[in-house]
Amino acid sequence: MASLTIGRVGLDVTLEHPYSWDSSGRSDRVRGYITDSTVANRNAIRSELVEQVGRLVAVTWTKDTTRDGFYIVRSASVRSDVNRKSFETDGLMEFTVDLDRIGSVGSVELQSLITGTVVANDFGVITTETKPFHAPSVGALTYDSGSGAPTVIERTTSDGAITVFEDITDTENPTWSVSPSTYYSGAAQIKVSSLLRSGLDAPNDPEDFELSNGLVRLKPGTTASVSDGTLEVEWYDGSAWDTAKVFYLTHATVQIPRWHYITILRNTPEECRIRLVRDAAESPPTSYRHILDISLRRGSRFLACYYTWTNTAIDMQIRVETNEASTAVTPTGATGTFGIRATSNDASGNRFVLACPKTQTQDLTNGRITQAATTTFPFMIGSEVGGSGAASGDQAADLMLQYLGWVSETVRAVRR
Amino acid sequence: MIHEAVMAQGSFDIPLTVDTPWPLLSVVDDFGHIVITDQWLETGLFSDAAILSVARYSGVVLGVVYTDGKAQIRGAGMVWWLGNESDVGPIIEAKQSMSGATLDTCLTNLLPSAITKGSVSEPASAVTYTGQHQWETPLSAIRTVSAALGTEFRVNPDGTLDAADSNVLFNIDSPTVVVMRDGWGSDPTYQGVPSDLIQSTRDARTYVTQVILLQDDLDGTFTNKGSDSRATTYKDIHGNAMTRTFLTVDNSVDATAVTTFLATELSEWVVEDLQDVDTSQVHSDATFAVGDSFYVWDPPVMVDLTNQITFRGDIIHPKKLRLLEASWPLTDGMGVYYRDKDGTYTDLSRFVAWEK
Repeated sequence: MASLTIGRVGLDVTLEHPYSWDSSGRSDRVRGYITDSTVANRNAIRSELVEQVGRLVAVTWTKDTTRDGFYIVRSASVRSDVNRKSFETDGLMEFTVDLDRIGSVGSVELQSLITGTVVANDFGVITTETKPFHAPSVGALTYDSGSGAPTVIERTTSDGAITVFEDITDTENPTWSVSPSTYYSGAAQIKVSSLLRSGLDAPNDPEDFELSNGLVRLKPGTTASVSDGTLEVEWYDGSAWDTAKVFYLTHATVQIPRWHYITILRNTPEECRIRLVRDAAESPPTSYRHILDISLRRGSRFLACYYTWTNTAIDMQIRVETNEASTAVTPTGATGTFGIRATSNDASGNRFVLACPKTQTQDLTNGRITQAATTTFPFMIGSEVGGSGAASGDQAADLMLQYLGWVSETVRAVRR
Repeated sequence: MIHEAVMAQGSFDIPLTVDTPWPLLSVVDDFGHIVITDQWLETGLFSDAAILSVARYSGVVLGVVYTDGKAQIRGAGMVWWLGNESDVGPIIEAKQSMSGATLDTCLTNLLPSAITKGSVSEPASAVTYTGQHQWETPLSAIRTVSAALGTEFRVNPDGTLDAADSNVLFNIDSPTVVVMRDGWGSDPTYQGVPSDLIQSTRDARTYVTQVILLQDDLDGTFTNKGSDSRATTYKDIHGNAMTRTFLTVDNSVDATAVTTFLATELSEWVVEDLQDVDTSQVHSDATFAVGDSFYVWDPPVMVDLTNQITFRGDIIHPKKLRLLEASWPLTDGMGVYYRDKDGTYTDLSRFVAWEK
């Protein structure tokens, strides 16, 4: 049975072959049926198809690989009706997608528009001391970094080997090429309610979500199927996902007990970002909220987090759930330590890393970083995969300088 | 549609529906006022002062256009009472001479009765004004004073004028609005606004390397009262440093104010970086108004690495722009009233042809 992928749609839930594909000039119209036997999956594909309108997507079709290429989704419509039993098991939904074809892998390359500079920090680290990084898709070739001479770091994701370019010139816009069939390999991605999401719309399911890039995977901690506010983070060691390490935030020494809402803020292969929100209290509810934004870039070994409290300033802390002795880390160029790493390798052979660019108090006995009297708390959660034997580029100081070398990226498809 | 501009009169255009009762329309008279509130108010419950204190906008009626049975009330913003761009208005007939005068004193001497002094803060530079004004509109005179002192002014819906340094009068230093094409939304610190259009235009035609202030000696000669210049890296085709000069003739600028005046003039003759931002979201209110700064994020053009903010979890480096002009539509839910010369309100809200 032929299969079709339009962007991320079709990557987890199969999208069956279309019944028609009309090409006129550089415009393609694809019509087909969403046939998954499960109503929930059909509903999800319906949502994810329409969410991709206006986006750059990679399209593949096993029945006619000449149609494989990069497109802009101009419009997407899905028809659900009782005649097709659209809302019943084994029913159908009919879709129509209009695509503007940019080109195949032979005629198109990807250009990453990069903007970046040093994250404002209290430790004297300047732009030239950071390690901004960029990673194209797994399988990408002919990477052109412009005038810079970045350092190459090879990492292995759950989708395969990915090349990470460290110390990029953040005023240059690198170009690279990759087949549409692997464009989403090693990409940052979001699942909510166990389904891969393509856009920003998703059900509110703070108990079942996943933020991953094949190197780092974040899931929510739950107790009795209810969010317990913890963050379960796994790292891929090159062959398997390691046991999750659990972290949580405290607010005035009180652990955040639960997240009420999850929102997708950004959902692109180069970066995904989610927002977790909770009321300060539930019974009765309050006019204050906790907001945690978590960002994950393609090729990154760490989560970049930003926590906001909408009431008056208070002490905020990020900590590992099970106490671990830690060592302070002072990267080159820093006037003091702004992060910690586990002193010893854990059972998976890794050492966790926590860092914050602001003045902080470190608890090295238990593995905690506290920012005092604040309403905002930026921090990162990372790991030295391989622990004491971590390769260059994957060590704690490297991750911290990669974190400070913030990069914003937007990918365009351009004619080669 | 309402059009507002910093230190300028702007304009308004209120379209009414075809079923507007004539008795209502007949009340609208020239030189009365249109008052607009963000949400409709039962005007009978409030005093004139209270309504004007919460009004988002007021303007003076300068005409009504009838087209196929539909009326449009037109006019200008409250700055109109200071004079218009054609130098028509309440002319300063008695010479006003000021020497080492504070901003407050200047306004006392120059304001007409139609606009009263509101909140006035002296410039942080502590500079004072020396000059004289006669046979010109208060608008022209106050603009000259503002340029000399490096301050700005704003006329409020209640007919009062506030004046101060721009960063005191407006929110210049800490914008709260971020405009972007994608990824907009709410954030604890900033209000994200989606853009319909972000257009950046660089115009070098207004660039000069020097400004010269001349005094007209009224005998066919001019006296050079001073100049200000800037270093330039631009060159002509032969490799010479480019020279372009703007000459201004203004006898009212006192010798003590020349330096500040020239610096202000030179700062306005630059390569203009003009941004045109259209949004569908009506957001101008007490927290964001014409004169305030806002952020625009649209890489690679709308980027300024000296600005770093965290917005919705992302560290971005938006360009900071100043909202110098804005046009905004009348939307359902607003209150639109005609205020006559005696302060009596007529509610037009039910008959406004809302624009969005």
